[in-house]
Amino acid sequence: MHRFANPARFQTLANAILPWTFGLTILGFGLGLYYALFNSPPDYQQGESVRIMYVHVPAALMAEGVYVFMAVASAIFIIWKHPLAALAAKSAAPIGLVFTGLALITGSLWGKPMWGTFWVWDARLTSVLVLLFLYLGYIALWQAMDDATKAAKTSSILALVGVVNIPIIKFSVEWWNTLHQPASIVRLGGPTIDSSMLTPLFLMITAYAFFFTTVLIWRLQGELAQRKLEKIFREQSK
Amino acid sequence: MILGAKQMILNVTMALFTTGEYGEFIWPSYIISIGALAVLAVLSWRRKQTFETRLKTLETQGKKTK
Repeated sequence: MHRFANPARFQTLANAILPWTFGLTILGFGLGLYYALFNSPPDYQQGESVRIMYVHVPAALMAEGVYVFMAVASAIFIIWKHPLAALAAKSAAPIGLVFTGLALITGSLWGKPMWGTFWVWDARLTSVLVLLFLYLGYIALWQAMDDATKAAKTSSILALVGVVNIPIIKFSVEWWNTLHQPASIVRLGGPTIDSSMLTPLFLMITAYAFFFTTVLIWRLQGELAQRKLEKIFREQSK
Repeated sequence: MILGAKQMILNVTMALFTTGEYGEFIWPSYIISIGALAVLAVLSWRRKQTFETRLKTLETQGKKTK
């Protein structure tokens, strides 16, 4: 792992895997959207509205997954002081924010026909809203400080503290009496969804995961180039 | 052939717009999701390109002055 903390090695690895992750993102979305919109049946209870699940569930899973990624990267930064780890967490935050926003928006668009309301203050929805604020707070902390090292340290602590919200989101449907249905994919006894619906869901989750990898690499490469530029400018101004 | 393709696209679009009692909520979900992800991808890629181009220009200028 320490080998990849070197920016030059990261660039070599990133340039090698980028065409694959980009290609798999396009392929994943192509197949996923085809299955989600044209090649999957309506649900016997939800009707056609079940198709919203194919964009809602991957966004919700990725919203949580990206935050865990940020927390792990932040822990690596705090323990081993790898600046690349802090930059990886920083680069992941806007992607996680978008995923969380999408989970909330598509969830409310599904909630209106199914529950009769766009929003309820139940444990699952509220804890995901808290996750959105955690992402916003993390991004704001990075923006608020001029000293990059200080910003990295402070935001890493926030990322680590905030990770407590992830099990709360996951188990909120079991711990409290919520309107949101219990887990039907990531559960001990295996998924409870029919394979005709599991296929588009799996394809879309894969597409979202490859999308995250691709955009994360782009953002991280941008961050590294920006750091180099700032270093050159600092040296020139001396 | 073009007319046939147009008709097919129109039929599929109409079918999707009118599917189910609450069909109107399906399209906005997909448009918002794919649209937001596309915007994020383009912005991230452009940001990377901008900084890398600036860096290359600066490095080329630096080599010339040396």
